[in-house]
Amino acid sequence: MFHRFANPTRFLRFAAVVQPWIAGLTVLLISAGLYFGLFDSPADYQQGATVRIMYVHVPSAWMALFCYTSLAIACGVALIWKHPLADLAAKATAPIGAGFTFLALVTGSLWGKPMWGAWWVWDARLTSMLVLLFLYLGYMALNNAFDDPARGAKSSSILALVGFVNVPIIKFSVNWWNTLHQPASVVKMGGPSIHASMLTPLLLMGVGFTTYYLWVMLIRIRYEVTNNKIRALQRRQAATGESQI
Amino acid sequence: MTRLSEFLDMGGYAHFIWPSYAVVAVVMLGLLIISQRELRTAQRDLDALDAPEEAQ
Repeated sequence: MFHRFANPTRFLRFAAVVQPWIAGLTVLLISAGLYFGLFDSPADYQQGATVRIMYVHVPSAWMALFCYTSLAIACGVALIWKHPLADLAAKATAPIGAGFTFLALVTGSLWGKPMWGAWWVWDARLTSMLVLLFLYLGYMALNNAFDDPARGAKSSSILALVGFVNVPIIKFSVNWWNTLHQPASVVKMGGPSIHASMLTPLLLMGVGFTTYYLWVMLIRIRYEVTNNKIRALQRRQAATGESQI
Repeated sequence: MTRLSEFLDMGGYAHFIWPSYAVVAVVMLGLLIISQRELRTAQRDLDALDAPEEAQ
């Protein structure tokens, strides 16, 4: 049975080789981050032990924005250059980004209750992050809304690109508006203003979450490519079936 | 309080800190496992489509 792979086989070979290394790196980084974060770093003089929530809340929020930026870039490349892999990368990224946005909101709420006294406030930072979650969900829904995958990919890409304006709004919301949420302490002018004992676990978890994203994205891209092959084969078998009758 | 229960108590904030770590673990591990399972079933479906003659 001869079957032509319409997919970039070279990418699949690269993904299979790289994936175990990325997986190992992720486990290493996150274990180290958890160790330093939970066992080997001080409590905050004001917030006490709740500062430990920072080691999952902040990396999740960073990844929520990082994934959306990757999603928007992939959609741009797909729309402009019709690159088939870019569409798959975007489709693979969306659920991961949505997961991280959800985690940022939930861990933030769990931190806000003891420290602010409220599970949720309509604060500029929190509200724009909620909008980001809806953008992710909208992208995924629109992507699957059509029978023809190409139309789904095209319309959801446009939504993703339009929605990108929300990313700088989230980033600078704490500076533009008078927000209850604190301003940036790491990615800001003049460099991080956190003590090394807390910065170390934070960066370990940040990089660990990034390699986790690459790991799961590779798996999901391979899934999408395999799915395309199945669809192509089914179409060909249906076509040959009709011609034999 | 033993050292362990003192650690778990997290200065009285245990109800907020441990659920935060738990939800992160559930979502991240869940997404990883689901993605791997989806890939495996897709690969199996593809193999089945590829070699129906030998399979019968």
